[in-house]
Amino acid sequence: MTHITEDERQGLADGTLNAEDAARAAAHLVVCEACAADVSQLRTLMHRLHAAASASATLDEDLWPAIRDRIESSKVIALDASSGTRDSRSPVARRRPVWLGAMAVVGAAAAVIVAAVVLRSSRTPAVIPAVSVSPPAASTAMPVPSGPAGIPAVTRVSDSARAYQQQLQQLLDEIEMQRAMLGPSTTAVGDSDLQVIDHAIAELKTALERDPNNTVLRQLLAESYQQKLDLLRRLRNAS
Amino acid sequence: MMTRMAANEDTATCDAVHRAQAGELGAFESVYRTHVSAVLALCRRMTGDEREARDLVQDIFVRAWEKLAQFRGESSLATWLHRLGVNVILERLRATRRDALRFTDEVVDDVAISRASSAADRVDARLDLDRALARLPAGARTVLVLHDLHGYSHDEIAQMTGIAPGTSRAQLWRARRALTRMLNE
Repeated sequence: MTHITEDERQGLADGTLNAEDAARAAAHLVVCEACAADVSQLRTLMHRLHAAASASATLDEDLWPAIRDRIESSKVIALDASSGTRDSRSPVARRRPVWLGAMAVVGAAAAVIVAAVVLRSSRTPAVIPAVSVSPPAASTAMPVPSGPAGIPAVTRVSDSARAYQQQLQQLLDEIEMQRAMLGPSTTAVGDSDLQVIDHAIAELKTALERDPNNTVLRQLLAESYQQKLDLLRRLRNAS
Repeated sequence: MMTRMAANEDTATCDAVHRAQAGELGAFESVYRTHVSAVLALCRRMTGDEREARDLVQDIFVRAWEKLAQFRGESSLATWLHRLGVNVILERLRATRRDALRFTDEVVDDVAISRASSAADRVDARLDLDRALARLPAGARTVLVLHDLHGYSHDEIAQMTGIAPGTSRAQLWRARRALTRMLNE
């Protein structure tokens, strides 16, 4: 006896087999217990999957406060969603191994420090001048976005920093627990990258204390926090 | 200009979206409360990791806020959020998991599954489809969740993930077989 193919079994189970092939395969199931049992198992799975598709998830923790803080902080620091550092990388760049990104982190952090020093004395511009850690496209003059409708919003930098700090501390705590599972070289490179970013953040904070309305410094600070967040997430997932 | 909402969207949702698009964060909170369960379910299934799923829920709603002005109401808000969520999840998987979305040489076999499982897991998997899904390799799980739970075609999955439709189909079949075995253990 010739049994039905995998294509036919799967097609019978999920209903994608055309009518003619389905009728022929169904006729085989009548005389072949093994194939009938196999297709029956697949159909049971499909029923479970369909039932699961409509099920919602329960959440024992309210994530809204963290989301609200992040949105508020993006208003303060005015990150541009279309040219942000996270989304502007090419698919190839996004697939690079974790530590190949380290050099980019160091370079970006160095640029942040330079920018912090250079821009320390400048005052709130109507547009962002040509200094940025983002790719070239983002380095031209552009208005500061602030929300879905581009509504201007300015709040305190300390609120923004607090929102990031909460997430960063949580990740740092998790990594500390898992440190023993990381290789020594991974730990060393990770610590080194974190030091560079922390140094850049400290420089930017100092600069912002002197010039709290400097939009460019705020953007650079936000990007530095985001880089640290991304780096910590990679570290956590590597352990 | 007011966004024209999909016909099946209720008045409260339309109002909340319009106000959120105008920058009202309180209105966006009601959007979050309405849709967070579905978004969380998607994140859990796509990642198989509770902690990462919660991170992603935050990322998705932050991204939704940033992109809300682009929502024109041509689909329901739930559909728009779902699609945006899938994109955010796939971006994260590519960025943070070295083995994520590696479809071509990934084999869903008994060895891979048994390595990831324990006796306790096997008991749980019988009762919990989500736990069984979490034990699938990332690439196979992605295809199965998108196709069987959310109705994407192989062509759509291929477009989103960069794999061939045939690879998507093969991964789906393997994932179903692996799930069947796990649930029958």
